[in-house]
Amino acid sequence: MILTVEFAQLQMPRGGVVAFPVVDLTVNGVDVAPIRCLIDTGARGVRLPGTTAEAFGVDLSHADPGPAHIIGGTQTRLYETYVDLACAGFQWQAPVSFCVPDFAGFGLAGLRGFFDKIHVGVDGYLALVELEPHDDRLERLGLDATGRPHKERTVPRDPRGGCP
Amino acid sequence: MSPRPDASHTSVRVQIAGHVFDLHQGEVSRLVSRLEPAEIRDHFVEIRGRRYPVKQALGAATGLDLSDFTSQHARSALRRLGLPVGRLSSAHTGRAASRGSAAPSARRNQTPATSQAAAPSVPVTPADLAATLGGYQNRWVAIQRNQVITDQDSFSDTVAWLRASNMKADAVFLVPQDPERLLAGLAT
Repeated sequence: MILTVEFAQLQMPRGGVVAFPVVDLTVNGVDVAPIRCLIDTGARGVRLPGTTAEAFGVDLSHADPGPAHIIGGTQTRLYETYVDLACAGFQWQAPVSFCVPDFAGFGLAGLRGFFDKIHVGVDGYLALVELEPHDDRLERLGLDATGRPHKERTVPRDPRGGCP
Repeated sequence: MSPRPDASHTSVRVQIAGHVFDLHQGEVSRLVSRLEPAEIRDHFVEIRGRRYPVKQALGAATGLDLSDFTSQHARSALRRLGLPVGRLSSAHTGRAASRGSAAPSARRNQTPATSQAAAPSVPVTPADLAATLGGYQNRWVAIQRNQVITDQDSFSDTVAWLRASNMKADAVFLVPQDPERLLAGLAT
């Protein structure tokens, strides 16, 4: 299934609108409230605001914080844990980092945990994002798990050289 | 924050077209929720997860002819009752749902809805939503079809409200106070 999502837009205080690609991720099955995430190839993983952890049933009290990061101008610590993520009709388990304090009130969908599961097409002209699980895409394109075309079935040759 | 169970006990006295009415939120909600929503042109009130034109709602609550009062009258009365009122054409006003001093808490305190919100009668675009969000800085908002369906203090409160209202948001996020600075930080 390919999910097409319009860019989200934010009005700037000094005028103008900025549009950017987003994905709304369901975390740990909390489907009443998918968290909006900026699609960010510059993020190494999935980053979520720390204050959302409790509502997703994640207890950060026993997790060790990683090194400090600066995200969006905020110095934050990353608490990594595994959660269930879902979008575009696809669910997977992935490591995500809950950031304390929050760097923002949305997440970042980055390389590990998102881009390695979901194929993303960004159309900046139409301001659309196309999301498709890699497994679905490979199957649709007739590719194997390594991205190569499926080998065509070979018919064993007749050892006598004749037609089989 | 969970909806307050006693919100339906709110009462107001209003004078409309020379008549005085004592309106009770629970009774108004009950009367209006029996109706099929008419087409919303501008201002609406949300009752049990469905949106009604404010004049239709107040007309049902009072029995008055809709030509006896203005939509401004209706908005004022319904807002005082603690019911969430809003404006569909948010792009023109910069607000999808009234907030000001009373509406956010009124919205939070409303009785949980039991059904999905009615679909907007006109398409609402991401640009409309962007125009609306300026009024929700530093608030967690739940979005459905590019409309704000609730705003809360925290993500947890938003999840609680959605569950209590039996509604699913398309997305939830905190509206940044200074989007320019935040996006600049993310871009580096």
